[in-house]
Amino acid sequence: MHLLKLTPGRRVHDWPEIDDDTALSPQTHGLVSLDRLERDGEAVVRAFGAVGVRVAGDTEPARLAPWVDRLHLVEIAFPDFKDGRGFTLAMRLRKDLGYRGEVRAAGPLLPDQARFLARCGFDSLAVSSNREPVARAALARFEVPMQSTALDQVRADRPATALERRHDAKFAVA
Amino acid sequence: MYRYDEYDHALVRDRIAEFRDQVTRRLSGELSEDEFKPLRLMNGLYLQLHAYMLRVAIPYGTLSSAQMRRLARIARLYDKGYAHFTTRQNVQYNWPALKDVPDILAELADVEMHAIQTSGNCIRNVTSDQFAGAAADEIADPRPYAELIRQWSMLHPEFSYLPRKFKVAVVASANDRAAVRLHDVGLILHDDAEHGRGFEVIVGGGMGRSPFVGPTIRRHLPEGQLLRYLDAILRTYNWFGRRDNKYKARIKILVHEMGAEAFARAVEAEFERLGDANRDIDRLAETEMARLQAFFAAPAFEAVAAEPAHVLRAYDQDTGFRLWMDHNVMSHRQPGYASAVISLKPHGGIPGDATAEQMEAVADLADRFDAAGEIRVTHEQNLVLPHVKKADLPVLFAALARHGLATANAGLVTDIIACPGLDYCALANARSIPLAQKIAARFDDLQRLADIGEVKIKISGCINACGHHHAGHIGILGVDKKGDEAYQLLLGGSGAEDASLAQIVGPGFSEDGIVDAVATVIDTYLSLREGGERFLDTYRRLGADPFKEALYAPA
Repeated sequence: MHLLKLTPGRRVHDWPEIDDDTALSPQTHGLVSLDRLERDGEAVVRAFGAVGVRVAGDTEPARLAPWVDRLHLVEIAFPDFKDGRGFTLAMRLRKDLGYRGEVRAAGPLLPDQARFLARCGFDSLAVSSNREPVARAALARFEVPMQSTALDQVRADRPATALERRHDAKFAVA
Repeated sequence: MYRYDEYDHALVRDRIAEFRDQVTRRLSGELSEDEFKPLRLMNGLYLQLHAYMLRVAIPYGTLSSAQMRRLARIARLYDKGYAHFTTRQNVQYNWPALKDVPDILAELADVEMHAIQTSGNCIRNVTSDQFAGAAADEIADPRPYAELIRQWSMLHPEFSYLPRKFKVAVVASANDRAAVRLHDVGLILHDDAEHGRGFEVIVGGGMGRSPFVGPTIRRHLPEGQLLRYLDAILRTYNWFGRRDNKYKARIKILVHEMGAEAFARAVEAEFERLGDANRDIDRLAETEMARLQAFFAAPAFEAVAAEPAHVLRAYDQDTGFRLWMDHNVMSHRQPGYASAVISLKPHGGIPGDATAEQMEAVADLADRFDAAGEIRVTHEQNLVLPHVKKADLPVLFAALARHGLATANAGLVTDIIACPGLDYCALANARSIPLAQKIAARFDDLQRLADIGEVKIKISGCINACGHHHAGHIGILGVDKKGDEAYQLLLGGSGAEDASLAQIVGPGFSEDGIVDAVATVIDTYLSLREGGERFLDTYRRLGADPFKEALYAPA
């Protein structure tokens, strides 16, 4: 697996994954399940310099709300590339919970979905290395989106939409 | 009509490059069929019983003559010389080769067309009133709103992997010609002194296995908030819609299971969360609306006689022309003009099919006789020239007749909607097209058709209801009865402003039996109707009993 960066500004790197039954030991980064975080919360936060959590794509955002300020990575695991709930979960994390850390997409996604992931607030995609070129190509396509999304107001680094380029002088191409 | 700018062009161009790459990866085995399937579907490409089928989007059913000519060219070069117009105002090609599809998409892009999101679990092509911009009863042309929605839905990053497909229809008249209450989202534009201009929002209608007439969840949505409200509906659906069973995955099931009020509350809560921070979106949408409205400005109408004498004379003297005028010519908001329905239901033909030659003829007639050079596709699978001078109608009628396009049956018994059925479709239980042909043969007398009046017959070859049998005044459903094709008969449906679902009348029939049954229903109606009652009115007044008696009483 390779990590593809979806947002230009963000630094992304591999996070060591800690099984639910492995004892916690101090380390700079650690990725745990949401169950583990809910069970051992404060101990997890104390043990790791930066805390990451892995959640399923259909996780109720309210479960993440208490931790949002202390998380550095939320990895959203899609059960299937056709299950679009992960896109909405990322949107909700950003717009409703105000989460500012990294959001990573994992699971059996298609590299063709990279651009949609980026526009829904994902920063990185776990992709097999043979599919990475396709993901990179996908990321470069459809440069000017036709629609605003619910994220637009909370993201400075997003592409200007066709509507903005047509009607808003500050987005006009020189 | 709408014209692409650089952004629309760039999107379609990128989409073709992307799909070309996906087809290459599929042919090389890099993409599995399971992975490729949703990607090809979102580009309108189905795998049918015998071959691939490509569905091309005709946004809200509006075509220019140049676009129609291109559709004809594609039919000739890449198909068997014909195309099929659908109940969602789209067009389908039944025999394209997979390797040719990217080239077909490039042909379409040349004339500002595409096949994006005509299939798959995403927001589909938005439909509207075929008489938009021409109808005397409309508040405004609904197409700028439909175009706003089309653009918003194009490659939506959050709503392209929904639980199931999602269909939106928009009308701007009290007379619903787009079946908005049978859509995932239906929008009716209202304009009243108290609220100003805004939409009634209907959610969760639909046909298929579980038919519902959709409830209204918002009486008045200010027009500028339309996109944000749709965003709230789609997010609620994407999150809560069922994904465990594809037959329970449409939004209608969610609305039904949650209850319309609870669903409306969830949408309103999401809409509120999108609140103040997104006012910019509303402002932009309003600015964009002004841009779009300019594309749909009325064509330059001439000041002409309201009732030209030579047309009245032809009407009196020529029975064929009179029948066509009575049924296929619709009133227009501009004096001296009319909208002409071009029937794609010739008796013995395939409902909705047109040959390349017919499509080119229609394009030429649009250039010659339509004030905007436009053609519309109706959800009843006919075509329309929306803005024709009444003075030209006799010449137009004669020209259409030369191409087999002047059947005077719009809205009558033989104006049948039929799905492709077992002749093409992998899902069907029974054939639909031959049945439509047999019914047409039984009623092959235009004067008799005219005497019977408005009857909407709709035939589906299976419970997925692509032929809209639930909305038929008379609906016919093909069921698989131990290997024999068999048909159920339903009565009393409507997809109009008085929307209702047709009910099964009793035990099913064989293929010949169902034709007799339709004839029996019509005869029963004729013996019972009062005054100018339509079939549907008689049925609603009397209920199913007299029809049941006639159909099932021992001889």
